[in-house]
Amino acid sequence: MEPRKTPPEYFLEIFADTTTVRDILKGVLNLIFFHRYFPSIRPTTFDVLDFTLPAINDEDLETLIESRISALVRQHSSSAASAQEGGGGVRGRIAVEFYEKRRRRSGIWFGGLAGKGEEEVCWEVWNLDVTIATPRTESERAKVRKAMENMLQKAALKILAVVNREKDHIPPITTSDSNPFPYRIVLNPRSDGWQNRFGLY
Amino acid sequence: MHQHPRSPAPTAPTSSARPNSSRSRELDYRPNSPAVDVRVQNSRGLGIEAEPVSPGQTAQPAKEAIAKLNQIISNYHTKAALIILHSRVELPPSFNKGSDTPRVNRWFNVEVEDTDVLREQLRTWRTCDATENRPPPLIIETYLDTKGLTNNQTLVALDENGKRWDVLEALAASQQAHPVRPPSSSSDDVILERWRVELGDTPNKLPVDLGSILPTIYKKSIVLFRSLFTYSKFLPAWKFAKRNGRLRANPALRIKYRIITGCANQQSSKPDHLTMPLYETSSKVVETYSFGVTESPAGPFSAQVTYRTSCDFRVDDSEALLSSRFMGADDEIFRPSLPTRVVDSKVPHPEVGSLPQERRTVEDPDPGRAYGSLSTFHQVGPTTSASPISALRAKGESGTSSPSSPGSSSRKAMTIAKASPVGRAAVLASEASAGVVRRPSISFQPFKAPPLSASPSLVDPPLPSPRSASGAHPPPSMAASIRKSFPAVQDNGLASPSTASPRPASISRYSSAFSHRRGRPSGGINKLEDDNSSGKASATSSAQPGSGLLAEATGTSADSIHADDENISDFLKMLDLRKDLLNTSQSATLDTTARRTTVTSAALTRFQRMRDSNAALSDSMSSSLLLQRSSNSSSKQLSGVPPMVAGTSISTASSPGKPISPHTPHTPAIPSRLSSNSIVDYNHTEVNEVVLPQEHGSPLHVNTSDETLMEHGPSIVNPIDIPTSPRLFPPAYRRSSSAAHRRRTIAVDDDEIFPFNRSVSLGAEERSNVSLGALHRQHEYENSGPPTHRAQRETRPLSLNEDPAVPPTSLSREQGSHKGVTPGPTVGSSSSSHHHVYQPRFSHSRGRGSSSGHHSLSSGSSSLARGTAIPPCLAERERDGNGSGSNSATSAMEDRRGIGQRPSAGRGGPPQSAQLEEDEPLLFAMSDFGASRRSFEEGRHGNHAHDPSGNVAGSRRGSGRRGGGFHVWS
Repeated sequence: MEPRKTPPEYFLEIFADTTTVRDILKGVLNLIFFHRYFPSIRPTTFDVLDFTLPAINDEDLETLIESRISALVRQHSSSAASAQEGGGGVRGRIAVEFYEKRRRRSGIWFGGLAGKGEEEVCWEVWNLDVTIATPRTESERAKVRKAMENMLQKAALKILAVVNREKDHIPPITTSDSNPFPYRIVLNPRSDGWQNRFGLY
Repeated sequence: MHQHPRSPAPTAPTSSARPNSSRSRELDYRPNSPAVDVRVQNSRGLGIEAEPVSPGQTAQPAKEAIAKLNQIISNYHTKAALIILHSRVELPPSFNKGSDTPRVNRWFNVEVEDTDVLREQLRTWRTCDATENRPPPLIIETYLDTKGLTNNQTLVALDENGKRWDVLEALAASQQAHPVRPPSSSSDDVILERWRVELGDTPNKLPVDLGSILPTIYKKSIVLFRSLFTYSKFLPAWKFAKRNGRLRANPALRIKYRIITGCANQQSSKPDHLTMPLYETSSKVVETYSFGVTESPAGPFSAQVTYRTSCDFRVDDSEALLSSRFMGADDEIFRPSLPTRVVDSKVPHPEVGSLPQERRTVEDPDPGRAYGSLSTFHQVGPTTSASPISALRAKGESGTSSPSSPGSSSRKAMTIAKASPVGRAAVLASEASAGVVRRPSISFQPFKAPPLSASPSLVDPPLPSPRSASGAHPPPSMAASIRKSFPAVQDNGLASPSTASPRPASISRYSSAFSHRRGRPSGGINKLEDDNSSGKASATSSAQPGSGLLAEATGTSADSIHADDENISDFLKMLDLRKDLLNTSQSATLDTTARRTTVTSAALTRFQRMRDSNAALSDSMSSSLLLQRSSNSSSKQLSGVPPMVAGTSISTASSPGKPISPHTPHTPAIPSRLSSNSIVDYNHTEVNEVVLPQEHGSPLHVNTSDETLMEHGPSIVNPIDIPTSPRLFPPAYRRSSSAAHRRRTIAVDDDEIFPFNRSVSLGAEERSNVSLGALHRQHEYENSGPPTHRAQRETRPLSLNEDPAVPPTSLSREQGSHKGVTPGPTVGSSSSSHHHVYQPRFSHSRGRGSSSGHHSLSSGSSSLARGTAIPPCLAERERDGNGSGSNSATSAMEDRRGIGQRPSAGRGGPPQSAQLEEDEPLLFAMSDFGASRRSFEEGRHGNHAHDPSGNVAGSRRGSGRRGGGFHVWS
């Protein structure tokens, strides 16, 4: 009803080393989509670390996720090379945004611009703050491994808690399209990116 | 909100424009999807909104809407069950008619293969509706069922530290605490999760705009079931199932499920198998996750799961578990494990370990004791500082305890007395090693044991030790302990003579019955013993050999010196005195008392020894005065020149044995008896010596060595007193005994072919592998009507298995014998090289039969003859001994007993039986002892004959004998 209402944002801390960052991000992203991708799906699973995470058999989605993860990893490798002394690790952010299609109230005015008189309104944002660690010793690796597991579990449980707790903001499904809610995966979104880009105006 | 305004518009388009796509898809699916689902799917499509909500329907919920609501309610439950169980168990797919494609349940946009196996179980929820027939809570439990476990398998839970905990034990404990169990759980399962899917009550009537609400419910339900799917794979049970799926786990580890109709007050405070802890832990046993509540016109939908936080289960070999416990030496562990298995739990001994074991093998005190000894090891060991010592103590204690019961029941004083000496000796040795404490324990044992039955007590202690070693898996440790103990024992052995005092008590008992005989036999025995003791003691491991013999020998030595009559009187006095001591003071006090006694009355000990010797003598006397005399004479000669004597004695013995042999089916055995009688002492000494080397020499053989040790120990004892005399004198008796032996051998032959092997192998193999499970099995078998047969069967297989082991054992034995010869100057000196060889063999055989002096004699004699003849003879001897032991033991205890029994039987049982048989007639006339002996003999015979009593006796004896063997070794 109030389209301009700020969509809820959820933040997830992702911690991974360079060897598992892909799997972990894939797992987390799939976990998010698993609860937000409403078309009928035949769930599959894949194992990350010691976890079994659900996955969606959707090529488009998988392709999108892979491309974003690859971009993040490239960014990390380049930044890591430039800021080798950085120490702790490299941070990056991936945002997952879900939109609903709305028919423009003003109807005709922007009809030409928005296609069929619809606009996409974001109703949920997941921010993944990714920290990529580069352990150099065995002890560090062990620590990182443990930290990764803990962080992944924490993120997964948080996702579950959120999706189960907050359902009322899920827009009504008004379309029989295969996917009622468009989504975007954005790498390093500007802090106000979604507002500026999709915002109110 | 949006929906309403939009619904008209969007719906129209969807139904018209896009509907085609969606519906076409749905149509495609329809064939696959269940009929019910199809309708729903159609209605929902992807867009929940697709449901037509006409303005007119708002007044009252449309029937169509209500039908959809009911469908949602029904599928809400069934889909949850499907998703949950799909992630836990293998659900067979169901197929559409005429197609081989699995039917897929697409409800709530989670596609899962449908199945028919849940149809009946979910009938209640399939047919429910929102108003008239509201669904009860759906409870789904996943659990592990332990029914699929075999007897030697144990379901264990691993705690965070990797420690294993017996699940059944924990469950049993909890059940005891909470007799009332929820109906849902049976006694032997472990519930991993309990899912609860519920439609709460709703006070409101169905809203008029139901049709417009349903899409939202459906949409939210999609999220719920997606998360249900997700979370079902986060739970420990999933990881458990996944891991086991890979490993092709034991059937008992296959997760099973049950679907239960929940009741409103399901959340009762009753403890169930879900929440009961399986082990002590600081973390929560269970946790609950709630999937939130989805409000619906029909009431709030809710789903939650309560799950065990730790689902690290494993099926372990029972024996392995025990062994691990032993290895860990965790008292706590012991406690749980033992109790779990044996529900019957007896707590005869303070020892934790002992209790469970006993439970398991109610019949067999030995295993329990053995464990107990082990447990004591761990427990006591630390305190005492010397693990071996503690072990010895434990053994001694166990022996005492065990003997008392068994002895009293089946075995008679006579046999007991004989056996007791060994046990005593061992005890003494242990005491010596342990110090004061040990002595007391010994003293106590004898006293206690005597009434019960000295022999059993003696036997039992040894058995436990071997079993413990074998069963414990810690065989190495055991071996080590044994080894340690042995040395200690040896040392002790010297001291042991004093310890021998306890024996006198037993003697006193005996004395009462057979004072006259005792006097004679005692004299002879004493002489023999003295010779042995002197030679042995003086010789290298005087202590050890002595210890084995010590009880008898030491006492005998003193006795021998003394006049028989005087000795007897003294003994009687001593016995009275000691009896008091024994009665009053138990292990702890006993120790002190024993110390006192030892200190105060070396003479007493001597007397006691004398008594023991007397008792043995009496037995032998009863069996055959003549034999005793001869033995005495031989012994005397031997005593005159220990080393030389030994040889001479052997030769002499052999000669007599030969004549005897003809009587018995096994000629060699017979001669051996004679020889054994005379030789016995040598053998004993040798055996003792030998044993030690073996043990030390080969860790691998440890088990076997233990057995051998056991055997040796007993052999030493046995040979001395009974075997020779009875056999020699009463041919008929001999025959009977021989017959018994023969029978045994015959029956067992296949198995017995490697009597040692059997005994040894059984002991070793059974111990190691079977120890726990075997024991249980054995117990079970024993319990069962035809235990003997089973036992025999078991033994046979064992023997087969053992066979490979046997050679080594025999080798070890031979080596041991050789070694023994070398180590034991007396022995070596006494016996020629041949003799030595034989002796060791004899000792082995004796050890086997040694416990039973008669058997030992027979076996020993045979072994001697054989041994002299050829090593194979040794094997035969062993066989004989084994056979006797096996015969007696086989009937009942095979596995558990097997170790102890076989040896014991071979050692004590057979000989005893032989003696008993021989003695029996006399005994009957003589006194109760005769009866007891008879009973023993009968029991033995019975064992042969598979009499339960006999079996029991055999087992007990075996244990006692084993103990004796240990003692000897020690």
